Amino acid sequence: MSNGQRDEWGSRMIVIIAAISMAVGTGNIWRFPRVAAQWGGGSFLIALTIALILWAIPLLMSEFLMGQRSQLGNIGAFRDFMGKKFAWVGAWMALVCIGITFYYAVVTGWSIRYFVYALGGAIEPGIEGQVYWDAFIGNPVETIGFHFIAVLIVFLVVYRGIKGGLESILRVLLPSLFVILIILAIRAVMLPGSVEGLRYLFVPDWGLLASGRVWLEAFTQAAWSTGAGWGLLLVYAAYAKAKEDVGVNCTIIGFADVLAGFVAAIAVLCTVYALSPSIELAEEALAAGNVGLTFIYVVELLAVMPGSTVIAPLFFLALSLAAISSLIAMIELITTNVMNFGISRQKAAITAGIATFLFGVPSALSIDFLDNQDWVWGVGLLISGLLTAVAMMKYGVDKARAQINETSDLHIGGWWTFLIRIIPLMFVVIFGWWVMQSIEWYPDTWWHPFEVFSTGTMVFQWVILFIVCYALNNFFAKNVVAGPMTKKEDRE
Amino acid sequence: MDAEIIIWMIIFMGGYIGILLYFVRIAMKADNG
Repeated sequence: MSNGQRDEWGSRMIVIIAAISMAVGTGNIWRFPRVAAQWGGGSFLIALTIALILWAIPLLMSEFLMGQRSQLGNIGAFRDFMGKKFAWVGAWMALVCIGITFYYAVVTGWSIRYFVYALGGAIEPGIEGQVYWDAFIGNPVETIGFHFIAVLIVFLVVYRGIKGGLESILRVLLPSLFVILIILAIRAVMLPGSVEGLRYLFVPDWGLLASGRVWLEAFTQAAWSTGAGWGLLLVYAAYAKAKEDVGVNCTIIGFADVLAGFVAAIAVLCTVYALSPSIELAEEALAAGNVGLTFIYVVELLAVMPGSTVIAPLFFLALSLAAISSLIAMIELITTNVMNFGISRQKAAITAGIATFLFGVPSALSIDFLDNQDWVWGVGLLISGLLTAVAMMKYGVDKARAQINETSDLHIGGWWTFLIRIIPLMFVVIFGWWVMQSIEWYPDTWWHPFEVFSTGTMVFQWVILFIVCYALNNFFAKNVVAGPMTKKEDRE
Repeated sequence: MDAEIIIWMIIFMGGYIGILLYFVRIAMKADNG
């Protein structure tokens, strides 16, 4: 990247499109509607909007600044912003995201498989969603096969680089995704009884705003959905022009991501409430978790929906496109960080593709393994968010704000420095809540390092990752190529 | 559809779309010079 072959986004619009594509993922379609309906509809949306402003957008701006200024991946950016003793922080962030990439590719494969099912007319009245799901997930040839297809599709995009690959694909993919979601939402609203779905989504249950749980769910959703703290925007920003706006772009990215969630939620909730035989069954569907809702209940509901031969393929096409657009950013993150060791994009992309396929296989074979990885690295993202704020503080929050304002079309005020400084406090509350919850949910096994869901397994895997990253700190600091910000002494 | 739902839908969807359009307008204005 700093060796004279710098690849760069062609325009401001494509930077925004790429970043929104990164943020809009399966979580917008299968998590947001479920959580919004469960936690007070409009009340949750109010809390989410506040979380977006307090947590997600300030962190997105920080990541963008780090990538744009350093023109390096996560490891190099943290080295250049915090000093050579902190290259391990960037490695932690990258590896947490890579841990997610491995199982996210498997989930992308599931989405593609269900799109193929739907296209072939398999989703028809009388289908038993659970039986269908069990048959699919119990067939390793299919789960590994579609995992391979997902990785291959994304590899071919990343291999061709920013201009030749990502730009040309994302330019078409994101508008297509929005159009499909809007079609699905309009169709769902037209169903008799869909009004209940809109009520659960938009009308606030004011009493719930006093519940700490609603706020914590909202902050968690804002952190996970927008990609703040993942390190993905940092990598995309490494290919942005030096004069690219930070403030306005990041605000657009954050709000567009939540808006995509709104449209998906209208489609999913109106379908669930209109087609479920009773409100209780609709609530049962929403309580079935991401996988249960999408691959079991929604399948059964779409099967009986008038026009299902068109709507069912469109729903799973939307899910597949959302998953692929985020997986592109994840595999690009691996590729860019490997490239920073002086390796060509082609070789780095091949390495990223092979690693994602091989390390994703355990998740393709075992849903328990996938759930464990989702649990461990999903919560680990909150730590990555904290580390981003800490990097800003180490670098100088006021200096960072001044640099953001150098290129921003909108003046970023002192509120930004204040929010970055209180992110550690927000982290303690959100993270503490997650730990307390995990102990409450699994009172007998919370400490066990080899349980699927436990505090023990989170801490155990985080500590291993920390030891590896910290032990390799000097290697990272010395061997990652120099960028425009790199000080000579930081590579010695 | 009752009025309460329509009002809240307009507040949330309209609010988000309005904010987005505002910032997109700033971005386009800046790009045009």
